[in-house]
Amino acid sequence: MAEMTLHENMMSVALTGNPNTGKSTIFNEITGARQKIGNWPGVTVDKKEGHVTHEGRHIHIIDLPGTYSINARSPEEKIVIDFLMENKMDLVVDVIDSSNIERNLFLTVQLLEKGIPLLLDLNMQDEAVRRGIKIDVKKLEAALGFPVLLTTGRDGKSIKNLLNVVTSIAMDGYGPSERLQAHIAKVKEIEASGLTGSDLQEAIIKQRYAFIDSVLKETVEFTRPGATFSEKADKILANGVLALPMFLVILYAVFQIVFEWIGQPIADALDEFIGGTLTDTVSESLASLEVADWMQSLIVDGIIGGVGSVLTFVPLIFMLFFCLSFLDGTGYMARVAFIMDPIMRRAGLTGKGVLPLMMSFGCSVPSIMGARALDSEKDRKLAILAAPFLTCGAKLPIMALFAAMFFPDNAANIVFLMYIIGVVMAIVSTKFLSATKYKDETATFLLELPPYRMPDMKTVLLETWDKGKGYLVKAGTIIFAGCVLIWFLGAFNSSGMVEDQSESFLASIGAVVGTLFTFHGFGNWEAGASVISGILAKESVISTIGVLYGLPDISAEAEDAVETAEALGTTGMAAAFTGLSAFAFMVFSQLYTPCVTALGTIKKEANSWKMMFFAAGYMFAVAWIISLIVYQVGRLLGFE
Amino acid sequence: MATYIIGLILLIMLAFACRHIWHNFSSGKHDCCGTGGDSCGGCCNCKK
Repeated sequence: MAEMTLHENMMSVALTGNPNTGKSTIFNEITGARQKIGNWPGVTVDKKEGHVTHEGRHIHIIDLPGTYSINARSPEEKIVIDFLMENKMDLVVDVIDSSNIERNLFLTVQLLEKGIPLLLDLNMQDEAVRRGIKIDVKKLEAALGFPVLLTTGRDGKSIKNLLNVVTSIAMDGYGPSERLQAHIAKVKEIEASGLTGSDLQEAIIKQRYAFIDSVLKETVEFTRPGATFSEKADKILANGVLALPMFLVILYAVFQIVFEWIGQPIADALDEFIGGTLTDTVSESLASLEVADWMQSLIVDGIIGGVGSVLTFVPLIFMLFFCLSFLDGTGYMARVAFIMDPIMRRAGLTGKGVLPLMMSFGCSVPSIMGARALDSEKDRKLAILAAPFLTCGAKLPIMALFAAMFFPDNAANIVFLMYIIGVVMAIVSTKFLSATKYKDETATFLLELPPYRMPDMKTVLLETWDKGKGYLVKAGTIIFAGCVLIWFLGAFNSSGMVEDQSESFLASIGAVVGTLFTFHGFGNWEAGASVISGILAKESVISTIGVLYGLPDISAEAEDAVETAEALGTTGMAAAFTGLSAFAFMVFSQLYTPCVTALGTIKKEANSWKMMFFAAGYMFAVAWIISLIVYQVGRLLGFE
Repeated sequence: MATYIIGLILLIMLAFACRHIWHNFSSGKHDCCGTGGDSCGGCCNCKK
């Protein structure tokens, strides 16, 4: 009996619709989840599930990826069709962008043709009102025969209203109107007419749009046909001449915010705390407790030195994620795809490839997965192989530390340069691979430019926290374990504990790897050991360096250069690298083999071990060659 | 004595860290993917 009651109280609801109609926002508002929201199409590439209890009913909600049609051209379209055809849902909510209703109804009509009953959620009402679009809900309901609801995704009242309707509506009372039935009959007639291939598709599409136009003529009123804010803003931000310089200015501003104005000062304060107060307090406490020397070394040099050197960069990571999430929310990222299309096309990709690649500035794993949204197999593979070249959040500490130590007067500019090197290499590599390994034709680029919006700060902050939190979890787990391992390898050899690290296991392993970099200027065992640990996780490069050199406070501020130089004098790092070899090391770290998680994702996405090993070897080779060129050319030009 | 107690605490922490790393590896989940609610974030394919 109890089981029966539970079953009766449960219902399953799927959210479907075009990309960028606010499905993920609604899903998050309903479930309290923090699914990534982006004001550009293709954010959700896999279905997401959540639960909520409303008015005593337990609702299981599935957020399907956005799709313009159900022709199964791309993987996410296939996910939607397969899911809706194979699963019996209690309710399917079709989330529609009210400000773009004509194009959105194409998918609606296709779903209705398949006999899937829908609750039409005309979302983004605020946007539609701003654009002077007035929709007669009753007439639209009558024209289609299915219930229609108006919502604004971020508005709590709308969400509550949506949930009220979802839990109370009886879909049995709805069915296709006579008009819709007549349309479906016409489509069937066309299918039986003997037309084939593109002729058949064209005829069906024409019929669908004729039906949609006839419905909209009676139900939608456009009262303000003037240029919208987005159209006016695009005259500057997506202008043929100004777009690229504006993009660079915005990118530069982000770097200034992260490295100069806000992020770095907080990072410096944290660095001072970890390197000073915390280390001193822990050292004194351990000494007073008469803890064994090796344990003191493990905690102070291994754990605090390693994990601490990674934690110092948390403020920078948070600031960067905040800026990227904010830009995502405004709709500017879609313009970036548009702006970059000519450049990407020359490289063999379309501008649409920029969107998943932009995610790589946070982490290459979502970027590799986001490549699913691209239209062709070739584009997907090229994007997967380009993504790890870009500067992910985990590489940022390497860049920030080396820039602060060796180029204190130009730290932000050097880090910016590393980002540019990553972007250039991603483009050059894509061009190379599209001309050699993947020669198929480049797919057509079709991308909708969403309207500019003021991002929802709650969403931006939640997303920033969620990504930053992941970084903290990593510091407490994989970096912590890595530090203990590196400390152990650095403190012992086959005869036991060593006084001098150069006699340790780590030195032996690092020395072998280090020989690969003899002509790169960093052929020492410490650099070799850092490179190996970086394959585990990129942050480990820094934690390893932290453990091996016992780094003191480092500041990226120009005015602290003297202090930084003094601090450097106390470590072996100053002797191990020159400015040029440090730069070559940064270039190598920027480009070499992605971390194991990214490699695992490549294997999973491409479903090919061969591709994974190719990615690992190819990127190592590219990094090795470019870094060698940088060092040797630098020497020829007289740099040291 | 303090050495043994701290050593034990570190061992427990290390065990939890290794368990977390193994869980991520075996489920294909990545920490960067976010941890909110029942969702793994928009970027990962979480196998619960």
